[in-house]
Amino acid sequence: MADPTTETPQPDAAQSIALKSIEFVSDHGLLKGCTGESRWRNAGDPCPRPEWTPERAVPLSISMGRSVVIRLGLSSSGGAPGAAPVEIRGVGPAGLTFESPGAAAASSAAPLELSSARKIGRRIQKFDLNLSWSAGGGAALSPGRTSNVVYVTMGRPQTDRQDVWQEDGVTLKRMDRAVSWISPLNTLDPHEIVNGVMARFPTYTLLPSPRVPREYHHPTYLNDQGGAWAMTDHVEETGECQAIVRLLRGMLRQLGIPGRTRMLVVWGDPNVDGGRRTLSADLEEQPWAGLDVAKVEGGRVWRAALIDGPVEEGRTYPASHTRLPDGSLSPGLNRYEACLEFAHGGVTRYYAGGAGVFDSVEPILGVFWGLIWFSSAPNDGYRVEKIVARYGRSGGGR
Amino acid sequence: MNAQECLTQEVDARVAAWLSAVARVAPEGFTPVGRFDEVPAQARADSLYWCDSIFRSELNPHSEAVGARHALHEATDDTPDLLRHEYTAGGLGLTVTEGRNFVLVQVDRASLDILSLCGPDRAAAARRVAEAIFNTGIESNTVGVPMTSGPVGCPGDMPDLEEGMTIASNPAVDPELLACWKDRTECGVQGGRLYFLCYKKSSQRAGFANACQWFDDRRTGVG
Repeated sequence: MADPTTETPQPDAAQSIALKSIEFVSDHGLLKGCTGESRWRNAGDPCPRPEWTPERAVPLSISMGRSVVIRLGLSSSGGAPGAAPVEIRGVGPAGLTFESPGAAAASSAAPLELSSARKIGRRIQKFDLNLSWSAGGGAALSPGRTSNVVYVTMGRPQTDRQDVWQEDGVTLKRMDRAVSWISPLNTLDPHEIVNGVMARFPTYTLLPSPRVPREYHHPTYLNDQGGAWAMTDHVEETGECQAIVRLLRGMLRQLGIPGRTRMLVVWGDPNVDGGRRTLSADLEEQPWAGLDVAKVEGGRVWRAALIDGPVEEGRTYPASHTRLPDGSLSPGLNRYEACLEFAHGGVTRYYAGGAGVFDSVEPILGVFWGLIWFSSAPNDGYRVEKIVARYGRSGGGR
Repeated sequence: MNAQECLTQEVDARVAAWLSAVARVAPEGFTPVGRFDEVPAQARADSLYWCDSIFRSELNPHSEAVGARHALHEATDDTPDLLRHEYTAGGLGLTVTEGRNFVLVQVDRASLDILSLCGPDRAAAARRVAEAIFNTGIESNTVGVPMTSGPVGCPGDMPDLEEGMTIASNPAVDPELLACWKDRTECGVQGGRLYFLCYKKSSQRAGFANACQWFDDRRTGVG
């Protein structure tokens, strides 16, 4: 053992700095349900702040292109009384480095606010913000590493319709799912994002699926369990067009992506330009919108309908989408076609289920074969009384 | 005949045909199912969807608490695929028979002998039953679901119910163009039993689906 009397005189015991907490000032502070108990509902306690303590590290969400601002809670021990302040430095990924501008008084009761040297990258992503901490002046800082999951959004999540829309409201589960869907698209163009999400739902359905849990009320997803968010667990079962639109809108708002979404219904009316004019309405503003026209001819009720397959005047057909002996479906009668209207940057596009993407609403009528007058026939069938307009679709029933 | 009379005549004929098809199936024509999971998949999903939409949870045949007995009838030459639920809830003995396009709710005479009541009391009793059965509430979170355009179950001004009579909650609405089941329901008396009939129809579709292909997945072995 060395003789302490022969050693070079030592300074006072080294200063030891303890990192007590990290509060992310840049965090939107909107995340709920970090314990995962609320499933898809907009519920659960707000995720705790500060986001990091020795006991916990909770996820956070931050808008892209911003500096990350944090507040460190520090305490020090050891060192001479009145020990000189030391520099604090945290090094993270992608240039996210935090450095106290000068020496920081670690013993001060006031938290130390630091701003990242670089701004957070301009892309929607999820990453682990692993920070390596050190202190200057030979002081020891512990722990030397911290880690938080960070969700990077395009802008601040929009939450002002939480009382109206089930899909509104920020939760960890929703944030994680939205980022996991949209990040791989690797774009910040809202139209490309919409296109990418809609591509997951090439068709919609009006039939309830036995494979989706009852509580979600497939295919409308009008439920009190988070509405259409549960669709992301049952993509292959798709849903009604309205549900897809609500999910998309929820995702865009979750990630602060700009643009206006509307769920439109589109139809033609025999009494308006002979069915040639495309009529449309926002289904949320006019829930009864759609073809609702009837008249009496020869003592029988004739109703107008959009037909999705070829028909002939005077012929009687089985009920809509009856499975025929050859496996095909009989032509189906419709009141409207539902679609998503998305507008951003002066460009408006229309996503009509599996029928395609349109630059204007007018051609959407073409998803139907035509517009007819029909009367009722036995066994829920119908008789085509008159073909009012032919639009162009030649396929059979959906 | 004016347009309303024509519509009424057609709808009455359709409802009569549906009621008569249900009546043609003798009780032994329904095969009990031990577990609801045994019902063909598409019909099972349809039934859950529509019953959850139409019924209050306390009187929903799919509520575990009511312990409904389920049975099904496969289509024949003159009857459609049918699904039946029998149970007692809310003091009412109920027989709910679903076709692909309708839900028929019949109230057992033992719990409500509607024709034993005097005229105005019949309407009041029917209204009470409708309020007990139907899910008329509109949640703020169900944007896109139309508010009902009129009373559900019974019309506001209801004539005295008689055997064989069918009364629409909203006669001006055409069932074939219905946007929401709440927009029109039928109420009547058949065989001394009060009944209500609701239409299972998607807003997007016009007309009705093939009532004999509801259990198709069972017949084709799919699902």
